[in-house]
Amino acid sequence: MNRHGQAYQLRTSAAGQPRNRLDADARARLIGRLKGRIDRIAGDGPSLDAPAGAAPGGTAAGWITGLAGIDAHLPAGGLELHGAHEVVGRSYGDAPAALGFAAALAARRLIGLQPEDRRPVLWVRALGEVSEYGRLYGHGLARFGLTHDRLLTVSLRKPAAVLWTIEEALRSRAVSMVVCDGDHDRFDLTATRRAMLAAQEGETPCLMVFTGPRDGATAARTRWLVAPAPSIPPPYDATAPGNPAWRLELTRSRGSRPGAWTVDWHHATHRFSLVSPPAGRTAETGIDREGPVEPAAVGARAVRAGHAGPEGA
Amino acid sequence: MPFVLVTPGPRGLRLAACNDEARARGLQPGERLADARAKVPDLASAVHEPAEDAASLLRMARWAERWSPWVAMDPPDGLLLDVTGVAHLFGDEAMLVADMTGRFGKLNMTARAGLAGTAPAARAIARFGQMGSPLVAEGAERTALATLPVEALDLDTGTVTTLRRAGLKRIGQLYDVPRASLARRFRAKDRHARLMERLDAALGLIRTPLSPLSPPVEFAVRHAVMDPLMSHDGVLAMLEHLGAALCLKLTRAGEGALYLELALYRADGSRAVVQAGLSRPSARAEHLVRLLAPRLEKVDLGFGVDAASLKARETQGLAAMQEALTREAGVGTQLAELADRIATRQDGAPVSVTVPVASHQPERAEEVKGFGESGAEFLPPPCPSPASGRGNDDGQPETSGESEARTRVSGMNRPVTLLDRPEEIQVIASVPDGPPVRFTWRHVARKVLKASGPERIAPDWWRTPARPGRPPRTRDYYTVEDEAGRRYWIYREGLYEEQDQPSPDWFVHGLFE
Repeated sequence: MNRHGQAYQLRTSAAGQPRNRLDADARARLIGRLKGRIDRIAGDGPSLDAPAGAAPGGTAAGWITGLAGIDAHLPAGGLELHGAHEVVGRSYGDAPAALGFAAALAARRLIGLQPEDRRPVLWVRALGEVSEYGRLYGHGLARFGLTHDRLLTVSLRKPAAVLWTIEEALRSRAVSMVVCDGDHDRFDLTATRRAMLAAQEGETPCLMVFTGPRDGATAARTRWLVAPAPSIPPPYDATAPGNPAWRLELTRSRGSRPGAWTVDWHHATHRFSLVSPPAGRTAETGIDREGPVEPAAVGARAVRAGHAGPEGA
Repeated sequence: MPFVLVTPGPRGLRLAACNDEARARGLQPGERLADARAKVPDLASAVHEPAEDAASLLRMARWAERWSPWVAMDPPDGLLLDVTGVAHLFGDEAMLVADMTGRFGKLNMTARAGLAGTAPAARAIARFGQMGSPLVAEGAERTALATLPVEALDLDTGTVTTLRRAGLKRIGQLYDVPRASLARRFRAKDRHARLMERLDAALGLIRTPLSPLSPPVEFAVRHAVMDPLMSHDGVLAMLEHLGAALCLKLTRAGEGALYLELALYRADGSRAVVQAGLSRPSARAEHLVRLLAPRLEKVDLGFGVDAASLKARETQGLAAMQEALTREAGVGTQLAELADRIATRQDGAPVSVTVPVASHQPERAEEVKGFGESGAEFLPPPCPSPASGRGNDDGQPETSGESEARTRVSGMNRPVTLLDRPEEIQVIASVPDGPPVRFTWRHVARKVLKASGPERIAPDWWRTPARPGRPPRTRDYYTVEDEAGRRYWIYREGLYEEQDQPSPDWFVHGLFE
């Protein structure tokens, strides 16, 4: 709250009141000081001033989406390897899309591993999810590349147990990554921060999937809002569903601006591809319920994303 | 009092063993209990328990290690001791034998002893020797055995019958019979061979090693402290000490613990027990301590703990493991340890592996297995050897049948989540086999824009139907996509053109990513 207030004052003073107008030098100093303060509070991760690709938390080569547009957008040149990330269903009912996108990111992570590294992915499930969207189906996940010899699952009831298990698994370095679909009420800032620290300590990525909408503070490096997108039909049958397609919104990202993309996923090659509105039918079907994301609105959110996280800690 | 043990026989209960008094009154093992009761009205009987006998023989064998470390059991009621080089500790051989019979006598047991240069000879003397000296001088086995019946050679009844028919009743008679002519008496050659082997072994012509009891293995360590420990930190330190000691024991024996039991003895005489199971045998102290430590926190220390014991209740041989040089423990070990910690901490939530099963029914096509029982190794794939690649023109290593099946399954269109119970939906669909145009699932109407299918899955007719009275019907699966791009896996149970059947129902079975 406090800092928002300051930022607001800064803006109004810079824009509206000539009496208190700061000269360019003073303004740069003030912004520099504020950035330094944010970095000190955050204590980790890329500095707000750091150039893209200079993330301290592991090289990005281990975990990229494979889409130049998205990877270049992220500060680490890909998903930060030693960190926590969030995948959030945009609305209720988007849970399968969120799970699918998480599985796709996990598959990308397995591709990034050394060939001799056969450490599996640990998927931690809160049992509450089972009743609503069913259980994870092994044959469905196998299509993503998460075959039974690359995937371990554990189902837990208590939210505290989920968090404990995530941290323990991340620190053990015995798994290549941890995916959890958790109870979003209990995954507050503290919980995500603990997951983040465990991921850094164990140098293992963590992916937290939230099946319903979520808009709280988080210590995770990125937050992806996922909604299904109409798929592009295969060329031989215009009435059949094509590859899974998702509308992605990067709403929080430390050190980068938010963004929005529509991607589809190829099971056979384990690759994303961008769906551009003219080529696909995404735009012309016009079923984006909230319409295209306004860049200005996203920008305002990003400021909050950068600042609000560490403050509550 | 005459007393017998009885065992169920072909026609009623039969005597398995008699005491001296019963024997004196004319009873023999093998008789029917009814006959025996007719002869001896005041007969007392009890059921014969061979397992108890074996256990008691084992106890006796352990006790007999007071005389020699090399004790073997000769079921059902004999012990064989190798006393080479131990007789002088008890005086001489005669005194050793006297000591043995005397001590068994004090336990109210009648013991017969025999001492000879070979184990079979000693056994024969002890079981069949007359009231002579139980000692057979060095090299005198031949004469000592000559007068004993052929049964003393531990032969099966068929061999004994054959020998008796030939008039060969004593071992001594066998010495002079030419072996070739004796062989002719036996239809089964292996019987003759066994007889000769026994004879040679008794006479010391071939060596017969005794298989001694392995020493009792107990992987348990104890630790006691002068003053009771009041804090959990103190107990944890004690546990670390115990863990190190236990792992030393385990490592020396080449074993790994599978089930641990930590007993804490409180100062007031009560006891608290903490247990933990492992998915794979381990002898790493750090891991064992980490498993038990979280459970320790919940233990009420009461007035303090003054002793503790850590025991590996179940162990398994630890295969010699080649660990990577660069890492502390291999990936497999790290994973197993992680799985153990999760299972121990979160009761009833073991780490599991979902294994594909060869079934066309989607809900039966996979099986959840515990990490330990799955045997998953997560090792890098073996390098294709030049030999295996030779058969293939493209140089690809041959795929095993299992992995082939897996790729085939994963190539099919399967959703990422599967509902535990398919949910019935209301549909508008074209008859007979079109996909739905609209359907209502969870109270929301959804318009289908794209659909593919059907994939027909016939029921497993050889299985008992889950719902009695409703035989399983053919399912046609469709993949449909609604306006929002959400994809569902739905099926129609039954066919529209089927005669004498209720019209088909539609279900959502899974949700696509």
